Amino acid sequence: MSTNKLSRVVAHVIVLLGGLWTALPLYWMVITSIKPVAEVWIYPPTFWPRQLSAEGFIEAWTHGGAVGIKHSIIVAIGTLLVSLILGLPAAYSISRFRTGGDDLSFTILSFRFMPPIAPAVAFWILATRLHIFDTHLILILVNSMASIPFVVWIMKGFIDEIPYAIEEAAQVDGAPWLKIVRDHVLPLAAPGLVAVSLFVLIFTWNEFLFATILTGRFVSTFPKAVPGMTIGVYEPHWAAVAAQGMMVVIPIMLLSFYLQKYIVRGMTYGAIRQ
Amino acid sequence: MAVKAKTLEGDTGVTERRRSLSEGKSFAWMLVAPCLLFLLLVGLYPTIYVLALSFSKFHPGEGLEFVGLHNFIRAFASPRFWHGLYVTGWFAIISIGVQLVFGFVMALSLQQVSVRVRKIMTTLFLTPFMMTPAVVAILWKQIYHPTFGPLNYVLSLFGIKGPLWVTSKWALPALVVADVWQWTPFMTILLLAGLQSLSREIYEAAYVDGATAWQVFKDMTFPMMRPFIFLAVFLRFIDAFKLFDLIFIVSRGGPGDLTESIAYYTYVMGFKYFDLGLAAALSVLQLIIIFIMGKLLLNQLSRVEEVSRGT
Repeated sequence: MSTNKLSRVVAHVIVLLGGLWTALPLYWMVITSIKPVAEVWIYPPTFWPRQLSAEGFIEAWTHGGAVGIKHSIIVAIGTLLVSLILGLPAAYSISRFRTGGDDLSFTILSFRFMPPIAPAVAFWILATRLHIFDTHLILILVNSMASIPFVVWIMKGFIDEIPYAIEEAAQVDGAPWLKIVRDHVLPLAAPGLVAVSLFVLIFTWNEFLFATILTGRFVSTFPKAVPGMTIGVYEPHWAAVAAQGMMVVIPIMLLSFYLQKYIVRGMTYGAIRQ
Repeated sequence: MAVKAKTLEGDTGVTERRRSLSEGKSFAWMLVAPCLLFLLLVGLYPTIYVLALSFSKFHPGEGLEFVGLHNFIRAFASPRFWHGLYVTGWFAIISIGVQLVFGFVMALSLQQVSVRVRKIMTTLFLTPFMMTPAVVAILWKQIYHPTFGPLNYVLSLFGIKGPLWVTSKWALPALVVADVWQWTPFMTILLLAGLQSLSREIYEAAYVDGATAWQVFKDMTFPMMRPFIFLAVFLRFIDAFKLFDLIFIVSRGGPGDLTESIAYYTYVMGFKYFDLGLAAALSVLQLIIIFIMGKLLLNQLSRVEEVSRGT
């Protein structure tokens, strides 16, 4: 765009300020996680740790962090598998055959827009009646409901971009449909699969409301452990929570650095191509 | 299998071949069926149940009693309901407005820096909204802590005595700030992606013709970015409308009901007072609103696709 010298300087200043603004709370989280608990609760608060301590991490790990990670992984991967198995064929169908037209597309997408609070009570009753309350299964089911629309939408966009001619050529050679899809379509759709998988995993991992309402003692996912970490009666255990945050932030930053392209596409529901 | 190939012009102007309809249709529906069945089973049951609940009154120990539109009338007559809508609306408009402006400015700025800087900034910006919202909420709760939080301490260095934040009249703006922090980067990245998908040639032509930067922005960039802006705003609006986690952890709808969004109000009615009929009616109303918004979002999504494909 404009290569005017002044505007470049201004742009850099803005980027710097914005970066600082975003980074500061993150920095606060980092140092809170490595401070000893006693230093977290002093006045005036310190902006550079006087002492380093792993108390926060130990507390987080033992009070639901480790367990939470395990349960969250199970639910996240389960959700991903269900969403892909159900969503991919549907995405292919809608892309190649325009199945159901706009109405079907909207119907599927609309499940994404349901405010969780609305069906929360119904799910709670349903889960209790079917004896799947406080199980991984109920969380996988509920999260899949929210993730499948995402999978269908993004993969439809990616499959749209794969020329049908490739499949046709393979058909002429007499290959069965499933083989064609596996050998020709899926490899080309791989970037889309990466984007979608990332999003489903992250979204399911962070899901809080259903995790809290639909589970009890046995299945405690990662976000649910957060408010439960307290010192004394009500005060949140900031060091532990910060440590929990660190456990999430570091993988996220790594993913963000290497897989930016895919994440951005996932964010825009596959609508924006670059 | 013998396939009759037909050449169709898709909406995108790209020539695609489709399998002959007669043979493809049932196969196509077979592919979609499991997905649709799953969604309907898991999603429809609660929806119908909520609908039924919204027309009933829950008597603990006795079951449900049909009361027609009574719950809806109660909702519309309840000042707390309108207050909830007001809080949600205020929050959404201010929060999204700020995010949009800051996001756009940042996106434009990011276009002018080197690729390396852009990549690093994107990494940083992708983090806040991908973090566990519960963690973000408690992080901000700590920042806002009147005694031990960094914010009030920094303010005191400037001679300002910071308020109690989440337990004061500043509660809602405080939540807005936390939301802005978390989601402005999202806006930035989305708008940046939009900016980068615009064609370069017309910009070069405009500069050759002698247009000023402001003219370029006003008459070219902004109109072309409209679908992307709409996409970003609607995505955020739907999330802001559903807002629950942040309020639940940071302020519990308080002080009083100052930060009670419509979603939180529904939660209180349903899970604290067990007024399930009312909670269900509220949910139905929210669903209607979100459905309308969702329909609008769909239109914007296809417009965005048109722009970025250059059609």
